[in-house]
Amino acid sequence: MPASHVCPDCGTDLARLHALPDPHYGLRLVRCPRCERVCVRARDPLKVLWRSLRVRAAAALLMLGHGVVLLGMAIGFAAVAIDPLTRAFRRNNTREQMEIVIAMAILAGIASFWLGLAAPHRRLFERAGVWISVHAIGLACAFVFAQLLHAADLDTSPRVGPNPLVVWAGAAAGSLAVIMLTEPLVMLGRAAWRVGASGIFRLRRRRAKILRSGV
Amino acid sequence: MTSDNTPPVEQRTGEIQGDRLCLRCGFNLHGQSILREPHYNLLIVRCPECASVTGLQEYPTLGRWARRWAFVFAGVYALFVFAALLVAGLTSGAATLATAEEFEREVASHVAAEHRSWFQSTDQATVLRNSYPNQQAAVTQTIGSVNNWGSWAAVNEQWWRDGGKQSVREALNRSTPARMAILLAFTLIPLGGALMGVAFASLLPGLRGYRLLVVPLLVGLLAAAMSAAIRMANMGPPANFVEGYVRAVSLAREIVPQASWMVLLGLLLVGLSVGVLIGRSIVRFLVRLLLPPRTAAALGYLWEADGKTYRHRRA
Repeated sequence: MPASHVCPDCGTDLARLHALPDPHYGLRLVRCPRCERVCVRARDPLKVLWRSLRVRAAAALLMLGHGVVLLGMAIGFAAVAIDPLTRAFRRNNTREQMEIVIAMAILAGIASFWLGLAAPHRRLFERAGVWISVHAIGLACAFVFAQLLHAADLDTSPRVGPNPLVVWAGAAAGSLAVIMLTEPLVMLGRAAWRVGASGIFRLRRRRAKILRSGV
Repeated sequence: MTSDNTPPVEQRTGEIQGDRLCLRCGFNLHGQSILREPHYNLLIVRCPECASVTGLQEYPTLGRWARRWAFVFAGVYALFVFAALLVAGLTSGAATLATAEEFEREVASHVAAEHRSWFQSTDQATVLRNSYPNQQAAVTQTIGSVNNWGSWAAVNEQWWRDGGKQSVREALNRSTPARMAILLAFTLIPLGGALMGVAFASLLPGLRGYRLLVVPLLVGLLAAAMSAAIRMANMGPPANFVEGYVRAVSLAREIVPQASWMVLLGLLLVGLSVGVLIGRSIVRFLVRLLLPPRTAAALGYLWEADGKTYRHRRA
């Protein structure tokens, strides 16, 4: 049995009347058949409670997910720059260098694509700033550690070849060019996402209409 | 004089005083204008974030179950926070104690290694067998421990006083892993505390300002209680050494202070305090940076917890 819904003007119970979305605001309205008074049909408070919980949890998870993915990609990028790329430079092996640089460009491209889709409200230079800031913080920490440890583990002495931190900084700066170049792809991806998402919602609306009509 | 084409005007009748979340995006509509709309003469409120309209004349609510479920959710949340505090306290205690003991073990293994080389080069095994002919079991255990027990090995106290301590100190000064371990411990432990603080500041929007310091207080009490209990119970394997020999780890405690775990716990709590005090600002910055405005509005409680209002800064 539906919950009682009494007209605040004439006292008629409107529970049996179907609430229809109005054309102006999309509110679920019921018009009293006796006094023509229009009332809003309340949403189920349990559903409202559940929805608010779900929305908050989803936002928090999205935030954490973005952080983890972004940090993961930045750490991967830094690890490749510090070890294999520095080693390739020290060996003076052009082919190895090219292979690693291409791999890093792909990684930076994926990071740029991800940031572009995940943070569409940010402009290109802001997204590039986020990526560079993560590397700048990492570089600063690594530099302090290297200094305090007398460069024992990172081997930052110039005798053996380029400093890994300089290679990392150079790679991070170079990744800016990749971020600029992937911007058209990001825009394409965003457009595809929008079309896909609206398509899904259209389908949902159509289903809801069919269910309402009782066909 | 107005023409027929003029759109009907909404009249402001007041403003929302309590908490009321937007049904679409979850934004708190507190402080928004209540409007009398011209089409149906209904009272409505508009969400400033997603622009959706919500009616305010709502009849009826579905009894008491919503409130009951709200209590259940609040209870589950409180339990979750309590469990998180418990885990944080125990983890903090375990991490600081394990790190301090790792320092001791590292130093003790250096003590044992330096002592072993002296023991073998001066043939102390023969000296021991000749000195204690009636205590062969203790002599065998002492010699065996010198070679195999690592940080729990037997160490000659006389050697330690005569120059062993100095040689261990020199070896430690040369050791990069030892420096690395100290450096990592002294930076990662406060950093871990700060991250915990950020998480707790986001989980406890009801606490503001210095009240947030109740979190490091509780975590510190739990961690200290657990660490002290373990510290007292941790005596190592039973040993029957000859006179003049003690465990390497007890000599290592002359180099590594006994209270090193307390120093580490103090550092962790400093990090935690800083984390809880500035945590919400950091999370707010990250939310603005990484989440689109509509999604970010759902986390508006992070602003409301500090008496602010989330507003999307339009580009």
